Amino acid sequence: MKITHAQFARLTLEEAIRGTTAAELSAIDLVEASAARMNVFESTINAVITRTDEVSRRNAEASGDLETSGRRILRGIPVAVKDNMMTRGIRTTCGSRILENFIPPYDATAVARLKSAGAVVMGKTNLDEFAMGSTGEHSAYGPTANPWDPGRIPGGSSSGSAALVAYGGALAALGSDTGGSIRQPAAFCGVVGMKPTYGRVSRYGLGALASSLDQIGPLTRTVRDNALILDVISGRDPLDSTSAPGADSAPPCLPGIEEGVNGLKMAFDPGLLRGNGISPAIADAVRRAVALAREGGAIVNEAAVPLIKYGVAAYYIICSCEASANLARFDGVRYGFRREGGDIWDVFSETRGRGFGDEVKRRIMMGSYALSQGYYDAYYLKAARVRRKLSEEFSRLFKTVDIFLLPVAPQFPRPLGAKAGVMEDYLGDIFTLAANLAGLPAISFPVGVFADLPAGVQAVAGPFNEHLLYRLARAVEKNTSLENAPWTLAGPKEAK
Amino acid sequence: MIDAKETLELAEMLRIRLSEDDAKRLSVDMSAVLDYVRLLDEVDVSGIDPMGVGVGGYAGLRDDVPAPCLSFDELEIMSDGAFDSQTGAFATKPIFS
Repeated sequence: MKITHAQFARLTLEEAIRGTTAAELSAIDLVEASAARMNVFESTINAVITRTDEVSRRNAEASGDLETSGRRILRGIPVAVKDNMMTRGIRTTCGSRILENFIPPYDATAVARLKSAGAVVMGKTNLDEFAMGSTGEHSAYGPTANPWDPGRIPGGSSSGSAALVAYGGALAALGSDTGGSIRQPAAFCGVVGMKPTYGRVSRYGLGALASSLDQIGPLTRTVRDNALILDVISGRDPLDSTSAPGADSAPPCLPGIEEGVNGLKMAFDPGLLRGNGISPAIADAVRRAVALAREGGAIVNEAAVPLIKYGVAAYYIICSCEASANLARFDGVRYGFRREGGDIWDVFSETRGRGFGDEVKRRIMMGSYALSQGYYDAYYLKAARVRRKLSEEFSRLFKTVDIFLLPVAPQFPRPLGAKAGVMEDYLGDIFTLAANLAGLPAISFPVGVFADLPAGVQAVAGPFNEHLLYRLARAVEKNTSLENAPWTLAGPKEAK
Repeated sequence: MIDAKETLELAEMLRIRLSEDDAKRLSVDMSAVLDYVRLLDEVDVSGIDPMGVGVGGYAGLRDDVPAPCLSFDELEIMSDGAFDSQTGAFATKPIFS
């Protein structure tokens, strides 16, 4: 059965699976509809750096003979992958000029798992360069716009993954989250984003920003779809030495998702809803989630994690230090872009000077500065100790509480191109960084629409308790409607 | 906290070519961040061990056994994207002249 791009955009991933299982939809129908949707939206949104239409069609045709069962649950399902995950034979830029021609010879493990389950990768999504940024504006391939209002940022760094899913170009997308890069764009684009427990999903083949903080996770329109994708990509991987020993035994996410929140113990900090430059509507969104959780039978009390206040400072030291080491490998010899110079040292300097954008240069330099002799104790060591203390605060909290609720970002997405100081953007991450520093799972899910923009709420849980977060998000989803969402429309909205 | 001259020296060490204007601009941004992170001085961390990774724990290293290296096809994919390659190898200027 042929479907139009508008019909495709309204499909959930589970509906598409049912459609292919019942032979009402074919893989090629889905791939064609996904490509058609991108044709309509991409000139406005710019969510995708590299489209793979022809490869996708061939893969969809090849998947036609296979049965939908077990590990092939995603047979023919169009998905997208953030362009900092390696895809064999498909250009992987990390949003940077320095990798403009880089074609990896292997797939990231998360991508390989999606493909093994039968998914068809439709394209590589736009991002802030090397995942550094929270606006979607720091890409060498142009900024991504927010499908809810193309005059606004979609958030970042998984800007393209969030925007593509929000306008209905793919049924799911992978993002990476180092300090909120899945959760914040998910909130800004009205979709669901999960940052799993550190080590639950393999980082093998992820272009590293900060190795102790990075984690791959799914972005989808619905909570059930999100849980389904996480169950597919989770698991121990011998190719990633930081893949967690408990990754294979973690509770699966989809099976118990309809159990509701009755009896779950939750907490929120009213102090976080005052000050911090927080919009009243964002604070209301958290209160609404609290109210819905209580209606569902959850026991919600007040509690605080005071060291969240220091997360921004600790994060930007640790992240920059790790980034400065990880990005030392880009030298113009092995990866695409090169700027010629007089000798080899000129080649390195010119290539890195022209190939990296400002945000990347800033973090490499700041990280190296903080790691240098005389500053190491004052910056890196101090930040790493604060990180431990913050992690211990969370550990104490999760002895008595299952889930901690808080905002995703203090404000709604700002206009594209609006000048903001560096600290202004960094402080916008204040609520998301703590989960990365502590290695905890955290989800962002929509709770409503305020002044035509979606508002998301964040929930954090103890290690490998993603299934509890999905139960909460699903319970809230059942009582939430998102009016005039981009996936319900025939074409892009006008910028306001 | 960090001026344009120091920023240029840092960039040179990191093999990042910067103009003087770039150095001025980036030094302002970096100083703002380094000023802000002084906030950490408010936290008493005496007796606290630094934390390197999150709570999931290490899976540990793989067994130290030989594994297949890149095939010639894979090397070709890699070197095709490189600026200058010859028969599956990366070409560059000499380190010593």
